[in-house]
Amino acid sequence: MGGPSALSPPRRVAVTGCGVVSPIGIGREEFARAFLEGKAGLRPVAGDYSPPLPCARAGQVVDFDATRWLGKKGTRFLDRSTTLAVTAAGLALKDGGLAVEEANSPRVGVVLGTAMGSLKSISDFGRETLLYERPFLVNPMLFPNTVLNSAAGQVAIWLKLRGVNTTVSNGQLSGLTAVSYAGRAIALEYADAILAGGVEELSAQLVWGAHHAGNREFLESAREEDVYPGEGASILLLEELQAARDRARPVIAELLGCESGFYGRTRGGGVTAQAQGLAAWLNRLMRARDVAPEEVGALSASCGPEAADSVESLAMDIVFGDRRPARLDVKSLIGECYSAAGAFQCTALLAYLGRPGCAQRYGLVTSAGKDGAVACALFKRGD
Amino acid sequence: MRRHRVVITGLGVVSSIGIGVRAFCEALRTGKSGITEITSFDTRGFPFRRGGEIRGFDPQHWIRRLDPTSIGKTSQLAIAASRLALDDARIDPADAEGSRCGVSVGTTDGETLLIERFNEDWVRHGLDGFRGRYMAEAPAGRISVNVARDLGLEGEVNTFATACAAGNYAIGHAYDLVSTGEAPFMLCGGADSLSRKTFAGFFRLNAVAPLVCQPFDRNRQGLLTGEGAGMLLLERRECALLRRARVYAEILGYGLSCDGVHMTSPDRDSIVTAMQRAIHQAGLRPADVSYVCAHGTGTRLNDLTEAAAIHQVFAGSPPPVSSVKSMIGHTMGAASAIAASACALAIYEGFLPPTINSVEPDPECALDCVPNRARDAEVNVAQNNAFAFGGNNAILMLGREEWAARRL
Repeated sequence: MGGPSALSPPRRVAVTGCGVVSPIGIGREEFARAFLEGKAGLRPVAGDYSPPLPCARAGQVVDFDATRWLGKKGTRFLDRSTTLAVTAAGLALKDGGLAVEEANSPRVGVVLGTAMGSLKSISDFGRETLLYERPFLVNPMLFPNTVLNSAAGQVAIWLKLRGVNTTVSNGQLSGLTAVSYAGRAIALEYADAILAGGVEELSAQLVWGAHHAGNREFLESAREEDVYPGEGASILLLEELQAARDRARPVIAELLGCESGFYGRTRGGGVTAQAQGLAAWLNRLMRARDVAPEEVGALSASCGPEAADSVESLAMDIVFGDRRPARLDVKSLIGECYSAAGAFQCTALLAYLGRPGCAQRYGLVTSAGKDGAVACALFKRGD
Repeated sequence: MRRHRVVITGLGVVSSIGIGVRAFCEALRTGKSGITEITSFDTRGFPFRRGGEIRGFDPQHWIRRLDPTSIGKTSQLAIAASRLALDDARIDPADAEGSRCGVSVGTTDGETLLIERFNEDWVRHGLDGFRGRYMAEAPAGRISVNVARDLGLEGEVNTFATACAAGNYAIGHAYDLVSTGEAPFMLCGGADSLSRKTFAGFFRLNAVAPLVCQPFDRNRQGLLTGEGAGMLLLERRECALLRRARVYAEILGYGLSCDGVHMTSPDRDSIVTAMQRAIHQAGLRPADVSYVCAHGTGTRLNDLTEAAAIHQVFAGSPPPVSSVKSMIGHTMGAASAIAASACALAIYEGFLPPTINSVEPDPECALDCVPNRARDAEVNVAQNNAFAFGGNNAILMLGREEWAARRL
């Protein structure tokens, strides 16, 4: 362990593994194949909901059996977000071939983004206090599920990770800001490797809650008339670049930088300001790394393509003019995965950059919240 | 990587023992209790009903641009504390507007009252039988966003949901952004509202005390839940000196660790790791620490574990260790931010905040918990402890600016 020294250059951050549990596949390769083929993950809602969900279709992970991935022992009181996150985190570690042992465990961490935690766990627990005559007769085993850092805490327990453990809660930006935070933590030597990403669990409470909210502040890019919520977990294994090379692991990509800002101080009509803000950050990111716009192969966006006047479309116009890179829209395949959306966008971008014959080496990920917040990240495909 | 030095130049506290830094400081010096009968939710059916509730808080007074009724209570508390911090730092709100000042807030339960309203509506009317526009304000991230909206800020906005250590996480992150030059200044801290869900949950874990919170006392009976917000204004030291700002303290560094063992029981070894990291990252030795502001919840297990970890780190001769929670209860995500404010005041004003309700110090803890009365003392380095569900430990180191300057 050592503090950041004044002399050493900033440490570089590599992606060496991805773990995905999604409506279009489980595991990095299955997800990448499905994404590049454009496989549809939105299907008629499975399961009995009373009242029925206010959406005809959804991106559900229908065939996910937590006990298959985690075993039967110790899973009884875990909620769905937690099992999705623990599974994806385990897959990411395995994909990156990183063995966590007593010696390195204090330097391996977890950073997850979640906008609301498991709203189902939180409201089921709160509801019980209203239904019982003695309100405290709630099940104490379920209480830990009601804190927002429950999934990150359980990932640490299951995978024995004792380093930096952080949960960020930034609405639509949660997944991408988790990756950003993790990248900084590695650069600043707080950790050597971090599992970073987001998780979302589809539940009646979440879908109805979003419906009541007018789908404006959460599940935000979905349009009111056709809300297609999704769920899943997407987690990247980030590592200090030199350490990854030292253990001879293939580097999937290098995380070159992340930026974020807030342009929501004026209510409504803020799309232009937000787009200009995002564009300025994208330009700054690329300039800092000497990346020319034409070297960027793709931008993995948070909004669906239908919103032509969206923040991201305007920002792309400003930055790229008529020489736009490919715009990746993973959301149209898997639904609005909200807390996990930004992390899925990262995984989708890495799949795109890694496909055979991809000429460009650089790619961007952007998140724009309805609240005025923006975040972006720049990746470079590994050697 | 070379880092800028980062100082605290503004404090904003909204607590059950006082609103505003002067009232809060006076309350710390006199050992005031903010514990009363809870009125903000229905406590019928619970045998115990006490907590650290804020009285006399008028959101209209603090919230300028937003409609106070359109946002959650936790956001209201955070905005009020942010305005207080800005004012305390003598920064004109008009100058802050449109600036790259960022916001970083920690919370345990976010806008928990809106989710409780959702639960009530659900029980009464079914999920489809009510108008729930208020759910737009339910995600925890709204807290930081609403601070930025109301103050008109354009920097990075982050909410940390690392439960009861969230305040220290948020301050640590703000320290990173200012010290690396990514943000010119930051408003950072924590906020939470009293909640029925949290009260019920802790009660069920047998962690709630019937009347008073007595950290490190032989007969302590548990924690009391509370609410509040603490926000700090951080800026680069050279900026602060240039504008002749009052410097409360310098942020020297912080340390994080995770137990990875159990969701609710603290782990001594992991807490030791976090403390050692914080002390090391701040470039200090344990002997430099003048005061530890404890996590000190008042539960049997926390206090024993924390005391054992402190004894290990300080090799058997720990500095005085007190708990602000004895006065305001456990304010969850706000707790370590309010405690960080107490540390800054301890350093600047030269006193140790007391652990009130101390009757018989627990010999098993064997700490000088500054019983009942504040004590005048020169505080060069304060260590602020925070532990949380999920095994999240975050320790923040603060130092007297003149002392830290001499050290270099």
